[in-house]
Amino acid sequence: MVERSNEQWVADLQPESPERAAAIEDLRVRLERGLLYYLGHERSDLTDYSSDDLRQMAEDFSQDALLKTLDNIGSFRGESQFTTWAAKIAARVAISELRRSRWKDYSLDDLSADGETMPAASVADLTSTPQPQPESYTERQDVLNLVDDAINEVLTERQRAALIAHAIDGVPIEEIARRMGTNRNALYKLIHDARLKLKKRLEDQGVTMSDLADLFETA
Amino acid sequence: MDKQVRNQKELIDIVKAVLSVPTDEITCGECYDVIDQYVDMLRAGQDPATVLPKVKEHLGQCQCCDMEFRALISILEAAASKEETDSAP
Repeated sequence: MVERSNEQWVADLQPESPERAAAIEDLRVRLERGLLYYLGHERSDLTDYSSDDLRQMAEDFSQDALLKTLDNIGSFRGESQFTTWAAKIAARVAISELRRSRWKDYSLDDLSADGETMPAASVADLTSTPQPQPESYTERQDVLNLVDDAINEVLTERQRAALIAHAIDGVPIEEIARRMGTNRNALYKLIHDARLKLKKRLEDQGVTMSDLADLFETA
Repeated sequence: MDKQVRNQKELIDIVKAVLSVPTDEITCGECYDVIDQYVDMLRAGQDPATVLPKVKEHLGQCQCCDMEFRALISILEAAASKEETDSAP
């Protein structure tokens, strides 16, 4: 495989370049190899697939990624290695396709997803807490009641649906965006705004983030 | 859909989401735009968080973007190990 600089990659992949066919093949092989490794080694959800299936998947995804790379080559700014930029596109293609397939049975109307859910995208692990004393238990319950009221009173219907799908059901943002007919950026902002609204509401009611952390974080 | 959230565990999941919300962050699109630069720096042994701190923060918040970041690393590592094998004496 020929080693190319960024400039050579871009030049060789131009429609009029005599090196175009070779460059396309080199890029395709590179992406397919990387995707095959990713699918076979990093995706625990694909362990039941045969090596032929994975190979086919890698081939399909690399073809899609190659087309997207060629379509968007004008937007490559040369701020990274060309092969990294192309691999970024390939990563998104693979993950998007696998995600679409995995979440096809999930309905935003359900609180529980079909099949295995992904862990919620949150930072603190609050699942295991020491047995609370009666006073702190009451306080926790009071705060949870405030949270429950806030969810129902300050969020729009879209904010509520998106936040519940993401924070509770662990549905990926991209999947929620697709279901709600919007894009990932807008959906991320929707959820972000919902979280900020809840934070402000709680603070207006005298519940600070420090209070929340004290009540709900592990010892 | 207008579901009432009642289950305590579900409310605690919401509390987690509220606790971890940063007040100033980049979008998924902004993260995606520079993740290739971020990864190149990482693979070159640099600390990309000093140059792109908001990306690191976003990756800690957004599971979708974090998944793509890890996939990108994996795809590039596979290519690099093949090149080492090809060039070995």
